Amino acid sequence: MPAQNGANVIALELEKVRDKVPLLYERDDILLTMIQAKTDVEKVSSRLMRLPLQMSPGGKAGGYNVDGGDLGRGSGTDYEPATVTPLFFRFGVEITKLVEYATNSKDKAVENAAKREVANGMAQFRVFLDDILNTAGNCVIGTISSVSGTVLTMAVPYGAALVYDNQTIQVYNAALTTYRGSAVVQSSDPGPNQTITVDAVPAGTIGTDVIIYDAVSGGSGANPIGLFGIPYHQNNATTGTWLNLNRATFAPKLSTPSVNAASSSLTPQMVRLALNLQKKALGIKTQGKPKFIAHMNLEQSNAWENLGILISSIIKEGAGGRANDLDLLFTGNMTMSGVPIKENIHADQTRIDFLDLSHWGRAVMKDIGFFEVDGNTMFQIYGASGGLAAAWIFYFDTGFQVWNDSPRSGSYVYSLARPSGY
Amino acid sequence: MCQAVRNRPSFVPMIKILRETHSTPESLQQILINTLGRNIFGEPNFRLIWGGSRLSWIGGKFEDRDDTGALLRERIEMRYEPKYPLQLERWIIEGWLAPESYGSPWAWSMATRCNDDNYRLEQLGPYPSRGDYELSWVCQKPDGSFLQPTASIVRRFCEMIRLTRSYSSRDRLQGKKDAAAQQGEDYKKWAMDVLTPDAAWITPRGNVTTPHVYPYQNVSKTITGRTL
Repeated sequence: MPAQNGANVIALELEKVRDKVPLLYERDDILLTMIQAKTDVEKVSSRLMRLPLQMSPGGKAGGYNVDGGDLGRGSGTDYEPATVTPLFFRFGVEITKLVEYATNSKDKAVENAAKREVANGMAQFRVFLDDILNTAGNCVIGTISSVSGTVLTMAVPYGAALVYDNQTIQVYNAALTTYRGSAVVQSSDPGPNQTITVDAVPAGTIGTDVIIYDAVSGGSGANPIGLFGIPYHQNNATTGTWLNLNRATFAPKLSTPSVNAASSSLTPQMVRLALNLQKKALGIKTQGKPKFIAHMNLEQSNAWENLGILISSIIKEGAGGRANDLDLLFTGNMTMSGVPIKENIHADQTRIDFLDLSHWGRAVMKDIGFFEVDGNTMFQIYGASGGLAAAWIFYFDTGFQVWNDSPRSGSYVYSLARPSGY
Repeated sequence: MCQAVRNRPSFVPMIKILRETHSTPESLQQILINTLGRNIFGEPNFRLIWGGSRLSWIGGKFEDRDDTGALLRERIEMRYEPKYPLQLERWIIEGWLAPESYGSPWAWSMATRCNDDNYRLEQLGPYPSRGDYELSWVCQKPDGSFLQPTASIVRRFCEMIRLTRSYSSRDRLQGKKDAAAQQGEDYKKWAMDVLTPDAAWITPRGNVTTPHVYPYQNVSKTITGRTL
């Protein structure tokens, strides 16, 4: 009988934690998990999922001549189908034998190594999914403004905020028609510099090019399609398509109310205007629902705090001896004109999005979990010689798409200036 | 008894309550004035007001709908509507912003005027030449339920405002970044606890349990103790 080796142990341990992977994911502290998966669409197949939208009311009203006059024809309600197709996302984690040996403790040494990588991997996967939720459905996670050696200086919005170390990115031209090549991020600076350092800049990369996440590994097709994020659904355009519906045909029903800040700083009337536009579009009472939030980056919530009338969300306690119940009232969430603020370091730094999450959902084909083949979740890495390499790999994967059944239920302020110095 | 009388409802409502209003307790307002002062017009810098009593102008084309969402009519007009529809039944403390916070009258007009082909309206009403009040804090319990403001609560609010003003904008932004980073670390620690079979896990409601026995479908309620 062959000796038991680490491979067997690792596989068992990952089998044990398999049912905990969804548990690690479905914690509603990131926006994507706040958008609830709708149970009636979790069995979405590979065919398009239809969202019937009531576009216009039916019926013909008017007067008529009761003395033998013609009452005319009638009409009915118009429904149009918006469609979504789930996309698949994966997250690969490799563990070397050295990691396994180096974490050898009194017992469960292998479990510790695998457990830590599951925890770290899930944390990073959540970051990745939260990043792409802030993209416009075209996979773009940044725009290059200049290239210097292996350093890419990124334009804001986004800057380098949606990129993390060791991430594989792909470079396209601005029109997303020409693929330049891929690169691996060595370091990123989402601070004032907004730079990304890569291992090697793909040939032909220039300022105005865009970077996308590794949409389809090894793929290079034009116009990649990605997760339908906030900028995709919250869009004031009256042309183009949205969920396979022509915006021009149904304008302005598929356009989100918006306020153009024209590169100026945030002012209270911009916020009031954005909220009022939504009230006028769908009625005053529609805003009184508990799932209405204001989604923004830290810069804009800081700009709102700078008005000087808010209690800072970061309070360093001065005098002690206060009652805990009183302190609880003053810690926690800020509001923007009454709407709870959801701060997100991955949000567009120049936008504030008011989202009615009751109209958002996820069409899920595969819940997040381990990628498995015939029950196996751990896979052997092979060396260049064709023999085994001292490493193992496992993947998280999930298949879903984000939808919004009422673009006019939200509103947004765009082209905001960022506070100076940031 | 005729059919019509038998079928008539026993109670026909004559009065429909649209919105609840309240007057501000003078003693609480005085605490705000004594602590946080008055503005250049002699009005309080901060005021306590009932959410349902706070109205503001909204102008433009309104689409009135029935309870099913069907469109009833479209009207172009100015309406005086509740400013904070999410806090209609809460006491609110508002802070005064000077007129310059809203820009110049010209900038206000340019930003708020709706120049539709059929109408021109200033959607937020006239320029606030005496400044205006914006929401500062909502008096409610941490779970969002109603809380009656008291003198202690108002005094604590005043202290918090004073404390906030002692920090610079850069300090506050750095604090937010630190909090975001801490949130990531807290998640990893929580994830490690979930993956540890015998971890003792204390939920926000004080229950001690082993995390991995919970079905993940209920995790949002169990872990955070709140729903959106």
